[in-house]
Amino acid sequence: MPKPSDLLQGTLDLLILKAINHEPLHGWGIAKRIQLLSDDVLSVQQGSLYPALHRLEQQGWIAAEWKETELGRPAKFYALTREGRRQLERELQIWSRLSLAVQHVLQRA
Amino acid sequence: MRLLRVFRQRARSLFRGAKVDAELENELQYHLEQLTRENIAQGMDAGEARLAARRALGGVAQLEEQCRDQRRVSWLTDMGKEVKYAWRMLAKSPGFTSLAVVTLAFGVGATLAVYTLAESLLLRSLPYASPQRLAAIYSVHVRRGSLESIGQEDFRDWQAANTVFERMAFTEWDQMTLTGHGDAERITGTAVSEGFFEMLGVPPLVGRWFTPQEQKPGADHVVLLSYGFWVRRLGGRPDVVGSTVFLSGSAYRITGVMPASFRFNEGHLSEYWTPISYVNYGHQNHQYAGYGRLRPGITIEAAQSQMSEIARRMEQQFPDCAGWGVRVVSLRSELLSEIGPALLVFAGAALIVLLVACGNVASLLLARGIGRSKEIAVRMALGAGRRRVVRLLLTESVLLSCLGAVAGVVLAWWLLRLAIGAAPDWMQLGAMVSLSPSLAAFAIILTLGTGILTGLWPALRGSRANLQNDLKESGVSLVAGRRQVRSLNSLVVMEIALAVVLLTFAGLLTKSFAQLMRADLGYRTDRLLTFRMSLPSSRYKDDQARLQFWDKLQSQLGALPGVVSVAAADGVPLGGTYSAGPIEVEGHAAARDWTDATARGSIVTADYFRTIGIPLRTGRAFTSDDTAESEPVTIVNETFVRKLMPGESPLGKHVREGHENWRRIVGVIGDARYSGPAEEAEAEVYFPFTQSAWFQFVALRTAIPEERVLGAVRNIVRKLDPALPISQMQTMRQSVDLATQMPRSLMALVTGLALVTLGMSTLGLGGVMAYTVSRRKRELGLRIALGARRGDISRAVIRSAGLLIVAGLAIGVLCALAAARVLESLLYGVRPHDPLVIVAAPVVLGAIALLACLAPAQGAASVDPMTVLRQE
Repeated sequence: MPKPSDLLQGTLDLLILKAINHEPLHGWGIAKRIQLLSDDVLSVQQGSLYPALHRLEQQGWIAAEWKETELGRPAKFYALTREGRRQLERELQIWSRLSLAVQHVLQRA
Repeated sequence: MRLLRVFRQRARSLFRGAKVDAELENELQYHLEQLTRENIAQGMDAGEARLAARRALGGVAQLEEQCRDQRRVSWLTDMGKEVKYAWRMLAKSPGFTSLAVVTLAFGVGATLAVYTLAESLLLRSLPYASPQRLAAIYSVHVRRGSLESIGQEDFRDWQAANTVFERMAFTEWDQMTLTGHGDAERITGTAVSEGFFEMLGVPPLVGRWFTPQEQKPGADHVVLLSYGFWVRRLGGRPDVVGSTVFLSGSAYRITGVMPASFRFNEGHLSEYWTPISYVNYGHQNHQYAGYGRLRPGITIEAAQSQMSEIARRMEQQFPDCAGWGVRVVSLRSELLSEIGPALLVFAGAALIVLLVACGNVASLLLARGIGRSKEIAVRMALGAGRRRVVRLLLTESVLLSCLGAVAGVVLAWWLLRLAIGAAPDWMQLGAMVSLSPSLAAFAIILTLGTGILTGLWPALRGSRANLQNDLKESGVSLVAGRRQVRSLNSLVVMEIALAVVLLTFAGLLTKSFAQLMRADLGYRTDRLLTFRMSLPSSRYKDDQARLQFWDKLQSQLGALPGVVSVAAADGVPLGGTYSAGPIEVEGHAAARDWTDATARGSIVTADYFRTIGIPLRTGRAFTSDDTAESEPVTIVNETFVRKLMPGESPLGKHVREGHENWRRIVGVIGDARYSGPAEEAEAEVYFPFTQSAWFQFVALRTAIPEERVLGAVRNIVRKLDPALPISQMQTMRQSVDLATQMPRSLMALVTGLALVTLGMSTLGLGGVMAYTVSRRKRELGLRIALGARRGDISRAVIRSAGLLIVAGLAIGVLCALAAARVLESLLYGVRPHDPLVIVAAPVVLGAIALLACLAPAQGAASVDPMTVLRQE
């Protein structure tokens, strides 16, 4: 049984992985992208984004690289690794199973 | 792939910490810049925008710390810091550190040595496939319950009838003279029956085992060589297989060489193996060592019950088997019984040293911990958690035990050398001892365990700080905390108790060894030289030839300056194993069971008794007048008279060996312990060399140190016959030392460890007393200022120490009484509860412990009230 905090943490991980699925982004960009794609519903807690990024990096799901932004300032860009891509698929499956289950419960109760 | 990436990340965080931290700062800085920019875009002014951005992101320092925590290496870097800190603390008090390290080294070293020995013996003493299925098979004389050698006929019947053994074999000790390859040499080997090598399953390094054909009479002049012999005498050339060597004058074809790792422990080292071919000696014969490999799944007990059943059937079938049974013993347990008790005592001693060492260091740490309570209180006030403080203190003790372990390895190596020297040669203990992964694991676990054992209690105590009191007291309490003192005291009591146990052990072993040395051997051991040399029957064909050779040898050796007398015999004290044969005494009906009337027969020259130093009790010694033509005569010893002709006057009576000629007893000599001081004398019967010219040993009594005639003796023999090998040339003193090697080394070892323990426990007591006194200085000063007499003060200190000592001694004596039984089989002439030792050990320890308390008591009495009270 995952604790509630684990669920939340897992969700943030999923969102991060999904956000950099197409192109490498820096931390700021990831926060902005999640906000944008969720139509401003989800705003990432700024304080928990960076520990999450560092954890994913330590686990080997994402890899970081220092590159220049369009404004010419160097920033740390995160990209999915091969294993990270697989991890994203796994997490997506778990997520869809979970949300389906929740939906069922809500509809039938 | 992912693991590699993870590993790289960890390594980077560990070794490039500064760079990674800078990057983190930069990354968060960028985020802040972006937030600020966004805020400005929303209309804030620059300052306000920056503040808002900071608020949104939260504390940068905390965030950085959180990110760092994700690296999963913080425990490692923290530990690094703690080790560095612990090292600094230890380096600051070198006296304490070196005392603790040396103490722990003794404990760890002794324990490591014991573990290495035990592991070697258990895992490597029987280097064959499934060694647990190997068993030794003995004949049992049922009435006496003694284990005896087995005979070929019995063996054959057992082999045909049993279903429990996969293979069976028997062996016999053998000795031959090697000639034709440089100097002649007497070499020891083993004659083995068919199936011996198949039973052990060890293939030769080169060549092959014996074929069944080669185990038959006529075809059995073949030999397998040991690796050592092959290298030493034949240069390790593989092409020697198929060639011949000359052993005792006959040509033997070499069929192969056994690997260096091959050994079969039978009480002697084998340089070669030859086949035993079948000879029908009848069911009365008992001369071989029997072995068997159990079928898979068969237990020793099952094998024993079937073999007993077979033996019962044979008792009814063959008259010679009546009264004989059979015993099956696991080979491993048999080997362990040889050295097990000594190993157990060594293990016990090592454990005690380890425990006392841990206790001692723990009390040192406790005392230090009490003194450091202020430092710890400050740490806790600054926010260190209790767990963190415990970890810090534990790091110190583990660091201590690691240093102790390094020194301990040196000690263990030295102890192992001692143990290898003490074990019998044939056991080849040295070859068994080797470094193994399990040994390394044990050493690491032992070291960490020792560190935690010593450190945990002091650490838990130390971290249970009362912040307010400790900070307020400024480290000098009026009286030492009762709880703290009590924990120190109980450690001291435990140490003293354990020291009593070990000291008792040492006392018992020392007394036993002294008894052993004092035992009357029945012969004089000083200035007596013996060596082994025999005349090959191929060249010295009859008694005449041998008598002539001996006459020449005797006169030449006797003429050497410093030589008092010279003798030859077919056995000398401590020269090797002897077995008794059946004997018949005139006027006594021949015993129904021949084992009831046995004596050890020995052929000796006229000067033998004078040379060895065995006194003549009545009658005469042999003379040159006893010849092949004169009346056959014999001399017996006192045990012979006592056992076989009690109450009779032996002189003039006749005895005979087996079915040989009757011989008249012309003399009675004193008893001699041929097999060493621990073995009782047996019934012996001597025959004159002049009536049966055969010898294996030569003995010389000298008036000068034996070593000075060695060279001359060798020269004379070489000149007479260069093909005669001399072996076992040693003084009787050396022989006795060799025979008492094991008890001597065990005594030295246990006594050494006991002295170390004695030192540690008394030092521990003295240290604790000194510490308590120093803590109570102000109280004592106050008392003296209020009129207490100094004598009373020092008496009070001694009284409190005395209580601890008495408690420790009492517990120790009880433990020693309970544990001394372990020693029973190792003691000679001393009972495990020897009153002298049981009393002396605690008295000596108590006296030394009291002495150790005198200095602290003196210190307590000489406290100057003015100085102490001024410190307020």
